[in-house]
Amino acid sequence: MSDSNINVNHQNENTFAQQWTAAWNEFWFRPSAPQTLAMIRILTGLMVLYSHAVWTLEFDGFIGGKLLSSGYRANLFQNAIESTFAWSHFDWLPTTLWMPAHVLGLLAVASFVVGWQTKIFSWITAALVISYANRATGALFGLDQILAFLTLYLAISNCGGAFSIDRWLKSRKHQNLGSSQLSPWNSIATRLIQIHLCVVYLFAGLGKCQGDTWWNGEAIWGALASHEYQTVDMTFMADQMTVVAAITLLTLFWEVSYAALIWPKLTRPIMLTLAIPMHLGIGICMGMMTFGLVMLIANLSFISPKWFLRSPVIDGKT
Amino acid sequence: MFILAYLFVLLMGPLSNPITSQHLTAPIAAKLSPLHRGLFMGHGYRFFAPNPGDSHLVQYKITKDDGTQIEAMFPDRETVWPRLLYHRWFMLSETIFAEHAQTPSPNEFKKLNFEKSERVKLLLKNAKLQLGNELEKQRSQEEAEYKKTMQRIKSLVRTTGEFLLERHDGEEIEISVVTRTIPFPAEVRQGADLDDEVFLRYPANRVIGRFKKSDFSESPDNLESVGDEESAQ
Repeated sequence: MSDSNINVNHQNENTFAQQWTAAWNEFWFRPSAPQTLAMIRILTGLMVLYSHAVWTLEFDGFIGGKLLSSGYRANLFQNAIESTFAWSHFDWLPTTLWMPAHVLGLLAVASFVVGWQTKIFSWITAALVISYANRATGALFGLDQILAFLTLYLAISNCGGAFSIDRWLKSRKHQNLGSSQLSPWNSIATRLIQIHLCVVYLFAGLGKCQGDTWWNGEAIWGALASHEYQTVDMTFMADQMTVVAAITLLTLFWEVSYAALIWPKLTRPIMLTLAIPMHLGIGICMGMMTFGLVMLIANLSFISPKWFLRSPVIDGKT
Repeated sequence: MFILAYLFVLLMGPLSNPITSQHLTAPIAAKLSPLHRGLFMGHGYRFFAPNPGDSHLVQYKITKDDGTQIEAMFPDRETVWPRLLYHRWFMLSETIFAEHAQTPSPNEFKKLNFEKSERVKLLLKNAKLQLGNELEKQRSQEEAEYKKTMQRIKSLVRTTGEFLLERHDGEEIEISVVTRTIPFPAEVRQGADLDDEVFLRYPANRVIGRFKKSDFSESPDNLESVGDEESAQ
């Protein structure tokens, strides 16, 4: 091989590595606008607020340990280290302070929603979501899992940079905030939400591939005809099993392919559009409106900040 | 590098939960468990997989001091509102059932354990020391794990019983589990309702706990949660 060939190959390798590095940096670290994350902050915060407010109604049982005792929770874990990391701030407080701590927690989440001192209250909200989830092990479902990662990723972002009291107060001091709102942390948080969501759908889809009813087209019937889940009577679908089978297979395909098809610009609108009836269907027909909505909120991460744009200065690329 | 490491931690959750490989993902997930627990990650995300299944309910019968009885179950959407709270109770009933359904009864476990002990003895007798010791180690781990699981089930049933007795101001409570199966489309076409009794299945050992008010002044270890003999199938 001639020297010139070696040089060309070497240059190509360099170019290839440089391209990958540049693409990686562009994907993760290109400063982006906070509008999408701010919208996710408001909606996620409202969901956390609602979820924690509902805990109030059965506080003694689920959070106070009367139903799910500390002994039960400790026993769930493999060892003392694991148990220690399943932390909850209620474990460190005397019982007399539990309710005041709960009320203060609700106020902290409300501050997160309106975007007041967002840097502080976003971390507090994420910690509260994890703390309550660790406390109520045994009464949890998908809602808690999605809320946990959304609030965690929002905490590392500048999600208070728009639609917030913080932003309003800042704009009173400085007339033109413009590009100062752009932050690489917004990109990192957005990418983490997007990738986490892809992981959720991928494994939900792959898990369904093991089930007969997702292949014979009856799975959606199983969901619609469950008395415990039912809110809207959909039993008339028993006469429409062809439609049920079509929805079942479409759901399976959508979940399995989401992680791939959500990224290309051509297929992203299709995947997002399909997410709406699927998750609203879960919400309306199966009584899990909170879960359906929180999944749609997470899907907002694939919407460009430009959609929520008020200032023409802001550049948002997802 | 930090991002790649984080993505690895994220992926190890569903790769090790609910099914795991003892040779690869289980040991890695065990190392990551503090992080998974601390950040409330490590979930399997298998929503409605592999199949949308039957529902599992907890029924209870409470006797008051005047002899009157209350029979109820949870989740109960007639009495619990809002829907999110109903769903929390539903998840609790599913948890209680799952703990029982996935755990063999003491008699079954005793039998399995005895069979394994005999195999160990045979292996050691035939000078297959390494294999015998390995099996014995596995057997004793399973025995310890079973005892731990039974303690957990007892604890969960006991706290549930205590909570319900206190709520209804009762003297005695009997707690049982019941499964509601999903009807076939043909059954619904013929007029069946989703809440028809015909879709309820009562396991042979459905009673999982019986308590008196006075039991709750004693240590949990002294109590029967039914049936150490008959529960937990």
